Amino acid sequence: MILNDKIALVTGGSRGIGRAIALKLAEEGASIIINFLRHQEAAEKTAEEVRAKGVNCRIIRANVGDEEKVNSMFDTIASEFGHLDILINNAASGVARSILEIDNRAWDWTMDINAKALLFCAHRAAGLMEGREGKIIAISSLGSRFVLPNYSIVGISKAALECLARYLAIELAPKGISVNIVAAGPVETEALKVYSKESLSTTPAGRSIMPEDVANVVAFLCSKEAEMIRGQTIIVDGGLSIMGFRGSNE
Amino acid sequence: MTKEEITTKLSDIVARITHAPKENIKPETKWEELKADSLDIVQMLVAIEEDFGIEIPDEDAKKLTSFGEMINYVSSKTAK
Repeated sequence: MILNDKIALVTGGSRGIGRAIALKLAEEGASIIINFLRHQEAAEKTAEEVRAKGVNCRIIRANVGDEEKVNSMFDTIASEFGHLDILINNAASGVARSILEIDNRAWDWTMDINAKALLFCAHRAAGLMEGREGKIIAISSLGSRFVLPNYSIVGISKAALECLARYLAIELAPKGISVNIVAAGPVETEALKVYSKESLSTTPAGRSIMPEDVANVVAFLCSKEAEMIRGQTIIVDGGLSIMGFRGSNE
Repeated sequence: MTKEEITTKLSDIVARITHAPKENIKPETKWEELKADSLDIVQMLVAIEEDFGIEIPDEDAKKLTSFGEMINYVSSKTAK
């Protein structure tokens, strides 16, 4: 187990990719803090699955797009755990609209949760990671660089997220904190159904992308072996993006 | 919490998010009459869940199409 005695916060950790990351990091020995916003039952269920792997788990409700709520969450973490080793910035939201339908509210809501949250969380996490070789991983998507139907504001927010992560990677390096990004192709989750009704059953790699595929890469980036990877975006898409989204090579 | 208190609190939330005048928010009022879009609905659900300490599963939320239905739902959840 590569993450024994580490404490990891996974934002949006109750379902989908966040859940898979929480379970994978727990499997590697880390204690887990699951942040959630709306789905408490799912968060509690995931927490049970995490505990079944023999590690501690705590769930905390907080809208990560709200700085006050983020501060409150980190106050809880500071008082209950005293420090943090890993921050997985995974929580995401947004509206499935074309760019011409994006108004001020949709822009702010999406940017706050998907991009600004990393800023709020990194500010507080950095203080709790002092001297602990902390790891911050931002979960992005191919929409940050490719134009996808109805994904406009989410894609823009993911581009901002990736750029912010690169700045953090340099500014936090002297504190011994490494920051990287994992950008996934369309992953088989409930969230995917909001943006695509088409089947995405395969990739050039011969199968669809599962939450566990993202979680495996995240776990590697949290390991000592990934120490010299800084500010990079690792793409997990089974080769889809180099196919220009034409699908598999059949 | 009484049903009247729940109604007042819900009315505050709905008015704040949709910017609709409170006098226009009646039990029979449908969300579309308040011009509430999908983002308004999500923001209302987040605020209601936080303020009342309850969870409104997505499948339940889809069935709550009016202010009155929301009052009844929150009342039943908070009574438990």
